[in-house]
Formats: sequence, structure tokens, C-alpha cells
Amino acid sequence: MIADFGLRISECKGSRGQGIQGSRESCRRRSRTPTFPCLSQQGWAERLKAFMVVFAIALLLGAIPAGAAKLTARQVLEKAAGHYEVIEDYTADAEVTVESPSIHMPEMLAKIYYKKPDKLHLESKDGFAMLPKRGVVVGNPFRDLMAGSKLSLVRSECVLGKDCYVVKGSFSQEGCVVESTVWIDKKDWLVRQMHSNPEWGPSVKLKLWYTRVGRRYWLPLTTAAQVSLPPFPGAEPENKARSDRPTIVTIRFANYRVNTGLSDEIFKEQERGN
Amino acid sequence: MLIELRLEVLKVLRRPRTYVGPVAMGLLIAAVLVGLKYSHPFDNVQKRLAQDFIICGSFINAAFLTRYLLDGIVYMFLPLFTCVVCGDLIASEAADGTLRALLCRPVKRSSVAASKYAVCVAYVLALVLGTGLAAYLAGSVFLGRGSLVLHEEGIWILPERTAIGRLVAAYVLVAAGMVAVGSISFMISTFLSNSNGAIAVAIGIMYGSAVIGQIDYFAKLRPYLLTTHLDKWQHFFTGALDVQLLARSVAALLIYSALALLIGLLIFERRDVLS
Repeated sequence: MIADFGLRISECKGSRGQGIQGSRESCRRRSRTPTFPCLSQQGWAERLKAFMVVFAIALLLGAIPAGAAKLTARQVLEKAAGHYEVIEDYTADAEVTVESPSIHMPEMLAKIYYKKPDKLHLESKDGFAMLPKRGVVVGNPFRDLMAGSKLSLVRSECVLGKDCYVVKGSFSQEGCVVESTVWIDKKDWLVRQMHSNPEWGPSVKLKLWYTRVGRRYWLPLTTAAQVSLPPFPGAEPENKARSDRPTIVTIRFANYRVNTGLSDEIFKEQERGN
Repeated sequence: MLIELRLEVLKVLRRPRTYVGPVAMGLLIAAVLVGLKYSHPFDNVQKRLAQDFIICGSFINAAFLTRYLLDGIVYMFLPLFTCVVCGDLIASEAADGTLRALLCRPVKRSSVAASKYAVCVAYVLALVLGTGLAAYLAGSVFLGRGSLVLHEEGIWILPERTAIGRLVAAYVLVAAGMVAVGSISFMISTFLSNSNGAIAVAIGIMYGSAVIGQIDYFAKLRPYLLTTHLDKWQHFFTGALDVQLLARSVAALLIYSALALLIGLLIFERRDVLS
């Protein structure tokens, strides 16, 4: 199209032996004299159409990066938070795998109940279930980060095959400053990866894969959290290298039921226990 | 042999001391069950876990009760009640004078001793495995069933089926150990006329074995000690079930039992029954 447009200008220029400016001026004059062969009514319309197309393309190419560059870290987080705001509650079947030097448990099947903002209830078919708190992600994983004061859009990075914004920030949790980094997909505004490093205590590295539920909600299909758990009292590690290994909690979700209006009663027992 | 065996069963069933063990174990199970259900002895552990974990349900259940019970009974109650019956089979008859009357009859001494020993083994197996079964059933009714959770070198969660398998393995090993202790007690009762002596010596041998096992100077003796193999049940709840370890320890305990039986039979064959 651009080549086509250029060709027509050169044709016009060649016909009059003038520069572009001169050519445009003469074209404007000649537009009033449709009898001239190179500036017929049809030719003028084609040139205008071509110009409009090129202008639109230029606008598109220029406008997207310019608009993106203007996004602040908070805006990126708010866009990502949009996915979680529409979810009031959900239930899901979870297949939990814990690989840890200090926790030895088989693959566990549990039913997870979640209600905004952070209510969580677990039910296990075995009657007892135990999950590392920092390895379980339900709801908005960067809720605390959004409440934090220092946020910065650091860079773009490819994570899990997705082009992502990298947002860094810090927030205070139980009197401890937590440095957090979130990788948010540029295309669909989903959190793909998250790292949390508290001033003291175990750090968490989290990766998320999503599924679409009911064509409307994006919810995690799999979460993989790498947590460094503190040693248990009385638990003598067999060897240092083994005890330093982090705990990896992988949760595979299935059978989501979203916004069914879960009662608060479901969560009361868990709140008492914890 | 069958007639002797039937007579021995009847004799054992008529002795009050036969019922001391099962009744005491029943009371112990009830006491531990009530303690676990109402006194929350593991609240501190649960609270500690709740700091780092989301916990649902309670780990106090039938499997936990059955496993927890083992800690208290393996070195205290089971050897005592085993020896009370096994050490009494020949010694009490010798003390009462009925053994002399029995051996005057046209029966083989080996047959009499073997039938008494068979009753001893059956009693021990019934006591140990019955205790485990009763604990699990009582726990299922009053505490519920579920995974076995243990706090040993980290946290171990065994699904119910696996836990039952491990508990069976542990109770089988403990039963083999008690058969060995009972056999020693039976052996001693063949040359003593006092059942209390047989009980005391058999339990003394077991505790002596445990003490020797703790002293580094006797480290070379450890693989051959009775308590070394009896202790192995504790390994069945952490890591994969080592079937070879189970088989080796059961075999070692059976060798203890066979040796004790053989020595007991030899002594009984040659003994002058004068009382």
C-alpha cells in the first residue's frame, strides 16, 4: 500500500518535473481542474484512501507502545487485579503434591473453598489435611503489594513463554517488610510469576498456569510454590544439604464452581483452627 | 498331642491370671482413648503446625491411637502379661504338684511341653494382635478414622491404607518379640518351680538386653540382641516400608524363640519332677 502510494506521488512528480512540495501544490491546484490526466476524480479518491490507511497503520504502530509506556506499576497491578475482583467465591477440587525435606506426605486430594478476601477452607477425603500456608495461592496473590507504598514497573521479561511486565514493590506484613516482584502477562493481565522475600522468614517463589472457567473467569489450573520452611522443633535433619532444600508445593485445580454464594459458616471451623 | 493341647487350652482358660492381660490392655486402651479425646495432649504440636500450615481435621484418630499405644506397651505391659501366662504354664504346675501327676501318665514329656508352648504362643499372639485390633476399632468408633500423622524427623503423613499396613507390620513384629520373651519365660519355667521367678528372669533378660544395647562398648553385640530387633517397629512409620528389615527382625526373634523352646524342651525332658 505504501509502495503503491509512493509510486503515485512519483508518477505525479515525474509528470510535472517538480519536488514533492511543488507536486502537492500543483495537485491541489489541479484538483480544481479535473480535466488534467493524472489527477482525475478517481485518482484523487484512491490517494486519499491510501493516505487514510497509512495514517491508521502509523497511528496503530505508534500508539500501542506509547500508551503502554505510560502505564504505571499500580495501573498494571489494577488491571491484573480485575481478574480477581469478579470472583466472590469458588470451590475446587485440588490435587496437592508436597516435595519437602521435612514434610513427607503423599499426593493429597482436597476440596478447597475460597471466599473473598482471604477466607479459605480445606476438606480432605482422608479426614486430615495439612498444607504449607505460603504454598497455597487463592484469591488475589498481590493484594498486600497493592496496599504497599513503593511500586515500580521495572522491566519487561518473558516468563513461561509469555511477555510480562515486571512490577516490584514492598509492603509491611506483621511488622516485617516484604519485598515482592510480580510478573504480569502483557496480553491478558494474568500473574504468571511472583517472588516474595520477607525481611526475615522464608521466601516464596510462585508460578501460575491458568484455565478459563465459564468463559468469564481466569483461575489457576496449576500453582507451583517454592517455599523455604523453618525446621520443626525436634526434627533432626539427616544431612545439611537435604535440610536446605526448599519445599515445593504443587496444586492442580479442577472442577471450579465460581460465585455460588458460599456461606461464611463453612469457613468458621478453619478460622478457629488457625 | 491334640488331647494335650485341648487340655492345656482348658487349663489356661480356667486360670484367672489369663484374663489379667486382656482386661488390663482393655482398660489401658480406654484410658488412652479418653485422654486423647478430652485432654488434647497434642494441642501444642497442632498450634505449632498451624503457624506454618493450613490444617483441616485432627490427627487424633484410630491409627494415631493404635500407634501411640505401642510406645507405652512394648516395654512395659506386653512383656509383663506375656510372662505372667507363659512363665506360669509349667512352673505353677510344678509348684502345685499336678505336673508330677500328669507326667506319671503315659504321655510324652515333649508332647506335654509342646502343647503348653503352643498355648503360650497362641495367647501372646492373641494378646498383642488383639490389643492392636481393639485399639483401632475403639479409635474408629470414638475418634474416627483417617491418615496417620507423625512428628518424627519432620512430619510424616501416611494415608489410612498405608497406615494400616504399617500398623499391622509393627504389631506383627512386636508379637514376634513377645513370643520370644514368652519363650524365654517358658524356658525358665521348665527348671523353676516358681512362676514369679520365671516372670522376673524373662523380663530381666529383656531389660538387660536393652541396657547392653545402649552401651557403646557392646556395640558389636547389638545385631544379636533381642531388643535391637524388637525396636525395629519404630522404623516402619518413617520412609518406605523395609520388608527385608521386617523379615530379618522377625526371623531373628523367631530364632530367639526356637532356641528358648529347644533349651526348655531339653531341660524338661531331663528334669526330675520331685514336687
